[in-house]
Amino acid sequence: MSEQRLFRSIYNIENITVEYIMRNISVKAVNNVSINIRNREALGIVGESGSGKTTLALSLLNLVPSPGKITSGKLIFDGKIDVLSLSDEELRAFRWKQVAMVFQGALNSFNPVLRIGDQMLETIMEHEKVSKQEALERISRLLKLVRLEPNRTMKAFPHELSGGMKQRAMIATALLLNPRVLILDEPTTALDVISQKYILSILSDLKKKLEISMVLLTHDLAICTELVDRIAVMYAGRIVEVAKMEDLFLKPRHPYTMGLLRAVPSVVGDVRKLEPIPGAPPDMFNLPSGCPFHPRCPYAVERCKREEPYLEEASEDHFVACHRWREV
Amino acid sequence: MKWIYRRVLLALLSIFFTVVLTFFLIRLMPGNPMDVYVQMLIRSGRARTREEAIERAKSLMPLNMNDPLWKQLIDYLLGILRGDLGRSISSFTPVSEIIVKSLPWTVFVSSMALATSFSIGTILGLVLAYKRGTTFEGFSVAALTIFGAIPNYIMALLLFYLFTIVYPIFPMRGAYSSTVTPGFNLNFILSVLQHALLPIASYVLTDFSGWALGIRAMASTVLGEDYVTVAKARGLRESKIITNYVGRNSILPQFTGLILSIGFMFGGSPLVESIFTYPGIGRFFASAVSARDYPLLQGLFLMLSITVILANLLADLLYTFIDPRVKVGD
Ligand SMILES: Nc1ncnc2c1ncn2[C@@H]1O[C@H](COP(=O)(O)OP(=O)(O)O)[C@@H](O)[C@H]1O
Ligand code: SF4
Ligand SMILES: [Mg+2]
Repeated sequence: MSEQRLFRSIYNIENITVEYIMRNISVKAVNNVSINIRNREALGIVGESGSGKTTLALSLLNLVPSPGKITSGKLIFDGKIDVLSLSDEELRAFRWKQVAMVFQGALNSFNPVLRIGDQMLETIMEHEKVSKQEALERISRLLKLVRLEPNRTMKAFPHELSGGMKQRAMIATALLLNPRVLILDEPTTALDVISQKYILSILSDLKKKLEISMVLLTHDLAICTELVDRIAVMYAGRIVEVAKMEDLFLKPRHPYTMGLLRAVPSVVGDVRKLEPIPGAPPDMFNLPSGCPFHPRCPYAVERCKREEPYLEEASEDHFVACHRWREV
Repeated sequence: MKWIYRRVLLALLSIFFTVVLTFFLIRLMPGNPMDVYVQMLIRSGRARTREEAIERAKSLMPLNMNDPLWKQLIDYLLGILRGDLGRSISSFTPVSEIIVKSLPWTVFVSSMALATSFSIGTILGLVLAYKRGTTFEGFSVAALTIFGAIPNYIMALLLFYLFTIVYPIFPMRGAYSSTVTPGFNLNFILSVLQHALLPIASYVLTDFSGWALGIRAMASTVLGEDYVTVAKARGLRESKIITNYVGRNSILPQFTGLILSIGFMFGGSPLVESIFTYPGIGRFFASAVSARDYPLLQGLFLMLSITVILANLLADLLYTFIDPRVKVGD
């Protein structure tokens, strides 16, 4: 077995809390989140819009934009790199080399006044001492991997590519330094159905070909089915359930997850049985006490209003944060 | 390519219409060169009676002043085609000679001022955008707003008073000292710089704030763009992000303004040049207006409209090269 096997996980996220601190109010967009990203796994992080997925992803690069701040927790990469205590220069070297990210709405991810090829080239050159020839060959190879025509794409300015092509060019850019972890934030939203399918098939292709861990952030459980090994469900900045994909789909334990599953057409099969989750998404500025899901939860009891539930292991590799997981 | 021809043709037409329009507008000003000249002769005592003054003025006026307007206009346009802009009524010097002599001084001072205020403004604007939300930023923005509100001739008066009267470190008038011989020698160059410094400073101190505030506003927007965050995520060096990402994208929109300013540069400022008795084109604008010197005014406006319209054309053409998103023909 390779050495990587010694660390089953590549990235340990321990009790991370991220707050957006504004003049007279602050939001805990990510609240005490712990999860380990395992070697070569595809991890899905699912949650409604506003549940804190993007903020969590940005914190993995220590790139939460102001007024956001990581206020507590630890990020340990590869068992040894303490990401939150890196110097500016070390952090710069860490970003993209170890963890790369395809941003939500990659439509605006490229500098509009530089050619795609130049932006890819500078990404390599800022990190590695390789010849330009070698770098260009690598760029070509990766563009082919995401099924883009290398010469044309490299010469193009961002506005000359379609949304789907830009998304794929961004995926190729993310792979340039052969990172250990690739984060994909809503990689299919804002694209038409055909491009969505295309991106998903490219991603499962990558998963087979590359030794890489993928983190897929999405509000749409359905797109996880084709790709991921494990799913973490986020609600109001917290992870409320984590399990292997099949386990979660067959035996969901958290009432919110059950609600999510009932709202997914491909899982329910029969469209008539689709049920949206009752109630409104939580107001992040004014969260309910105790379990933040209690106003919408059909199983809520008095205790849920007082006490916040924490993740417990319900069965092997299946964690849930609910006081009543045994009963529901 | 067809698009470029169209733009050039349009520019030529604009120049033609501006020339015709100024021809009439100048003549709509109350008073005419005759009246002004007659008054001057009487006041200076060079003519005793009004009749005598009118008689003398008529003999001196080099103009076909009594021809119908349309004939005067055609004469003037034909003159332009021959390269003849006529003679100034007040000094009897050919208009083209006045322009050729005074324009270099104005262009020298204005271009130095524009280059300096644009560079200072750009750097300061970028720094301010980076220091968003700090007290330094708040203070600087307030100061810049005040500086930007001062007209350049007030600044010129202030500098003139401070540095030629209170602390007489700079010369009061002219473009160079009478003791140096014009030519390519160190003394002459130093003297020119010494004389130009206060006029340049008057422009720079009042103009740089506009550039700075413009860049700052643009850069603040650009800093919030996804591609800047992505550039950070890609682990690019800070210096690279400031120049190639924030800088390039925020300077781009300023670019049109810069080229247009180059066009207006050729007009100089009548008031600032008068304060420093600087022999530039602006001073002739001022004297030509008060003397109702039609040929000189026409010549100056012709020159200015050509430079402004050409600068416009240039800005359009260059922008298509600088911003890849603008397609030729848009
Ligand atoms: N730049 C910001 N300033 C203030 N609050 C923010 C900012 N970005 C996100 N938030 C808050 O953080 C919460 C989580 O947002 P986000 O991480 O974008 O969630 P998701 O990606 O799941 O939609 C939201 O409720 C939002 O109000
Ligand atoms: S803790 Fe209570 S309110 Fe929260 S999900 Fe479980 S049962 Fe529902
Ligand atoms: Mg998001």
